Amino acid sequence: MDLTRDDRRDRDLVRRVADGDRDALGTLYDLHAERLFSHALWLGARRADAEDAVQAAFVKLAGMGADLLAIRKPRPYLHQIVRAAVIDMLRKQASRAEEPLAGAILVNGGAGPDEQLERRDLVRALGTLPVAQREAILLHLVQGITFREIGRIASVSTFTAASRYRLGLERLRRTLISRLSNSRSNLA
Amino acid sequence: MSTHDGIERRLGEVRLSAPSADLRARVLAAAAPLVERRLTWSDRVWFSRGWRVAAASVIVVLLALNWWPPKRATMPDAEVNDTARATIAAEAERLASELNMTLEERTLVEEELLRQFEAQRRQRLEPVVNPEGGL
Repeated sequence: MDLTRDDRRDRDLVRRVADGDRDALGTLYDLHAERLFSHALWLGARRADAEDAVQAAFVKLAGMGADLLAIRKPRPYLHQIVRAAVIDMLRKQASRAEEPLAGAILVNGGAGPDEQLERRDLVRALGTLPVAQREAILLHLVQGITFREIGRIASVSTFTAASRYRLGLERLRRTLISRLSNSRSNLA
Repeated sequence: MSTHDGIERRLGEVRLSAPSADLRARVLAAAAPLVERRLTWSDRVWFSRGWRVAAASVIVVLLALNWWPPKRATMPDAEVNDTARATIAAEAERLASELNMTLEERTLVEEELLRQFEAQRRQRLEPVVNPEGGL
């Protein structure tokens, strides 16, 4: 099976954790916590809940003992745990963050005012997407995760993960076009 | 930016927001105490590819001994034994070097494989007893 260099590095770290190396757990945290945290936010969790989900993932990993040796790709596995934790929290709370993606994405600060506005529109439009499509888009585009791994994380086929991505992009494009034409007609 | 490429490019430029600075300490305080040295040599063997290959090889040997009656009939018993034992010893040696086993662990693995072989062999050689008296 296809193991990338990062997969091998992560697998070695996980093996070290299984062998009692606590520093390896810290390294895994440094490598993945930010991405896991963003994933939780994109699913609609509040910041505090997203942090709890990240903590839950590492606590689970640390307590697995020898079963850790069976994990070939730790990254999708960690995302799976975070996803399950967030879904569970959202079910229990029956509420989501007031505004989807609030604080989940920072608009890159280097661009001019027009581009900044454009990006803010983009982030707002992302917030209107169904969660599964938003998840596929952001995991693939922002985190560089393959459709195969996204399928694994979301417990769907690779084809479904890719479809969610394409449908999400199409919907995003339509939303942005309609926003653009609305703002133009407002100006006129 | 109405094209997919434009949207993809813009999304590729966004930055992720980070969790709070104290989360690392909180996570490690909760998770690190659960990390213990609990691996045994049998865990390492069980989850190693080398073990699976060795087990498959031994099974192939056992099957071969069972399924080829002409060879079994013509090969003296001691020779069958020697061949199987040599194969098992070689597999145990390969496994031991792959997993950096101690001599003691290697011996345990070899003994376990031999036990399995002997059990199979006994089962094969024992006559099937007919409850009504005949063989």
